[in-house]
Amino acid sequence: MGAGKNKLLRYARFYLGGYDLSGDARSIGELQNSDQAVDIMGWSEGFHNFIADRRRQVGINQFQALMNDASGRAFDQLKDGAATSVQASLFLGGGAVPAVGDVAYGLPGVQINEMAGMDAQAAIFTADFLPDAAQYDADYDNPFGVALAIDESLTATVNNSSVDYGAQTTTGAVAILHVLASSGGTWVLKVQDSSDNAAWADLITFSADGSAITSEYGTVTGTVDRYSRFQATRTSGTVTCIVSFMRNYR
Amino acid sequence: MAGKNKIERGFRIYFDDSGATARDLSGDLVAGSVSGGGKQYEQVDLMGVSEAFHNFLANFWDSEISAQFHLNDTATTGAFTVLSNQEGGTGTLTLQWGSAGAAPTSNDPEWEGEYVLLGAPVSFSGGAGIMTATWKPTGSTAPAWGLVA
Repeated sequence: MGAGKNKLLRYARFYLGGYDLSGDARSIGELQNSDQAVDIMGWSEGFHNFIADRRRQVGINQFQALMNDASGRAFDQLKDGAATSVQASLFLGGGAVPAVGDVAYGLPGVQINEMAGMDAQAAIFTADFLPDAAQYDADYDNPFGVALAIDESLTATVNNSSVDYGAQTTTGAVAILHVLASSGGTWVLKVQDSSDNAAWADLITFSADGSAITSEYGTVTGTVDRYSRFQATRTSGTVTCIVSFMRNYR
Repeated sequence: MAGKNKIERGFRIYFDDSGATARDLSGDLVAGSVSGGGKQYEQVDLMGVSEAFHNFLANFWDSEISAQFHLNDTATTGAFTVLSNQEGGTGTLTLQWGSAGAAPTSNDPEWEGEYVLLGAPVSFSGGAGIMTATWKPTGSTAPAWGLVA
């Protein structure tokens, strides 16, 4: 269905460190994205007036999942995860399962806690994720972006559909890759950009080669052309991966 | 038409996008979620011990505005599109109250000023993604009551 006011929880997908935890997800508190207000009022002005402190608060707050202890599921991935670096991406499908171009929230994060509890008699596990100082990069300034690759098994080289940002931007971008499944083959996984949606250049080339479940955070400084896309070039095997791409606007 | 006929159906909210174009966000505004418009003064309690009741003067005032919007990523005009690219940015914020459920028209009440958008974090309510936007006044010219042109 695409763009519109159609972002339902049933079409949200949450990926953590190369694992899709959506099947165990129950609720989420907030995808944080705020500055604090700095009051710059002088006495003679009479009213409080503010500027933003330009220290964006980012994080995934109160992600709650069923305590599924099967391998690769929520409890298995979240337990013992506190204080560890991880990459998290959340897709918001537009009235359907997420598609290329749908809203994405990406976080190179540190899991802050792991809390067991009960919710309506179901055992649950809750975690918060904050921006990770160990992964901090000046190119990460905006957690909201788009999905460039969605949860589909790839069997051949592919150039995904492009996403049109409307204009070139000049303050860098980041991308988060999750390899969700692999047959053990070899791939080259990239984010590319283009000014005309015809001639493409490499923007971010991931180190991950698609041979194993993993996640990776990549960055690029400076100019990012109007169009962006995901490219997967096959040498061998099959791979399932998702990519969230967040470009900065300030 | 003046009168005690200002209902939510006739309310409109506009905020500048990153290109300083005013965007009508009313179609994505969650009903009942707007808070603000007008002035809130600080209360300075000047009561003396021997006085029988608290008595006050008004000091500085503030004008925080908050509202929730459906997470609409329609290009150019959707609330998510407008607000996610304006986080930390400034622009003209306009609230208008139309009469008898109609869209605001000439001489209807209006609150307008320069505001900074502090943020628009996303949460889920009733199964749908929503953004909670919070604005504070910015600049040296105070927001003020006026009339729709």
